[in-house]
Amino acid sequence: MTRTVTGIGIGLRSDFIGELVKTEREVDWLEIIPENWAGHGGMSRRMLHACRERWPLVPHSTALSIGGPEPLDETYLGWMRALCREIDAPWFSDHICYSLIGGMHTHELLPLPMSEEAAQHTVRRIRQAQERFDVPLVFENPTTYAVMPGSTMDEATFLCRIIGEAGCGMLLDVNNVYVNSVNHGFDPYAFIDRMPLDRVRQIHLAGHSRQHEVIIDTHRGPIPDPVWALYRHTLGRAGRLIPTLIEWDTDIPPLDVVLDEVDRARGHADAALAAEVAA
Amino acid sequence: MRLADFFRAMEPMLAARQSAADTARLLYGEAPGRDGERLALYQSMCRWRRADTLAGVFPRVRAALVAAAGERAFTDLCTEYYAAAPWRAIRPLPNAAGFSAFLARVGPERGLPDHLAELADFEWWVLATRVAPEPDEDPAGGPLRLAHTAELRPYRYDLVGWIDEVEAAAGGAPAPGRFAVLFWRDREQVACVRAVTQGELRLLAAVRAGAAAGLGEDERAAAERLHRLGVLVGAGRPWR
Repeated sequence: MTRTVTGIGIGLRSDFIGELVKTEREVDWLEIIPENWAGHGGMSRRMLHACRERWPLVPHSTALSIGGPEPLDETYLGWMRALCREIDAPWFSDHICYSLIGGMHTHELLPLPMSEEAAQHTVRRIRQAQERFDVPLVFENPTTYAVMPGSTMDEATFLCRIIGEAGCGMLLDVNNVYVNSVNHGFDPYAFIDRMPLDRVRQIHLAGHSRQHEVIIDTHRGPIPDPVWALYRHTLGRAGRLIPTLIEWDTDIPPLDVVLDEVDRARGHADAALAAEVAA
Repeated sequence: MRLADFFRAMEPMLAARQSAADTARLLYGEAPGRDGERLALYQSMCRWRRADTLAGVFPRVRAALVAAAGERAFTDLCTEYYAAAPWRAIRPLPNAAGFSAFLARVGPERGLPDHLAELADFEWWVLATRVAPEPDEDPAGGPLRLAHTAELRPYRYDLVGWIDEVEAAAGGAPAPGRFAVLFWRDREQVACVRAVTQGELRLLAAVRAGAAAGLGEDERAAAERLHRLGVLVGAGRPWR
């Protein structure tokens, strides 16, 4: 039976998996990168199942290329469907982007032009992909560093059009909203206010890095204060604790440091929701 | 710009065949502005991603290249490999399968250490062994046979001995010679490597040929040892 995902989770990384299965600290759920597990046997499979015994697991892919030019990869979809069944996944998430082009996997989350044509193209493919899965599909707002030519709408409109018309769930990456707001010069709070928060099944929080005048979504380091503030605003607007994941993928520290961020997220969530009740 | 035209313009840059500046001119015109200039970020991210992916499969190859020629040399080689053999698979292992042959081809003209291509092959097999799918059949039943993960690879350098030295911080280069290395997953599912002896080679060939019943005393002892280690599996044990 699929377990309910609530509270604060972390991304499952091989760097600390051995330590994680033994920790007594509180973690509510785990996110896995399904490409790193599908079809694998041996010790890594055993560890995945050990985690599954203790926590709900949510797959978060980077390979669906839902906005891309290539046909959806049926072999990949088959693996993902099988993995979702194996781990009783409550949903399957990826990004509104493309990563496969010319038959090549770039393994990078590349931005689409924010146009009506790209939105409709992506909506069609989300519906196609959804037919292959037993669980709901959920899509994340990606970071972008440049506006692609052919764009005719802003990011919030583009995302709302896709999520609304495809009828899928949303993974709201609060760090990505902040990063894009700095890179493109918009108000991140107004952006959050325009998101379909009733469709948001999951939130991502992460650190980032500055590179000259651009902020890069590196998932490195602790979560910066402006991202915490935006997170509190998001939960306040949503009026509920949306399942939240701490992403830390670059220069991964000891597990306890990552779990300290989990505790911080819990504190920010409690404060945001208490303030909402008080208001 | 139509979506199909956009993808057509982006593809050569993402395939590492065209510069970001040329792509920006195609997409944004002669004055690309801020967005056109930032296109270079995507090109560098793709470079970094390829290098990071291959570093995950080949940590010792990367370390050797970085030590010899710097981080950029490794990243450049990864980009060149990607351009020569675009990644058609989602998972790193199949995409990385040709890296050893690529290093063997370009190594001599670049002055790369001679053992690097074999080291890449070795590291690829370590990972392949670690993540190989579970067997369809029960390892405890059936005739004596090699475990489903068992793979023998011939090398011209003593990579197993050298890695032990590297991990003991002695460094140096692997000694040349003729070596056969066995990769397999043991009964606890841990990936293992072992340089095999001539006697073990004869034994493994006999088991493969289904001729284990005619083993001599020494080979039977080796068979028992390799069965205990999980290299050999099955219920049929000729030493009993």
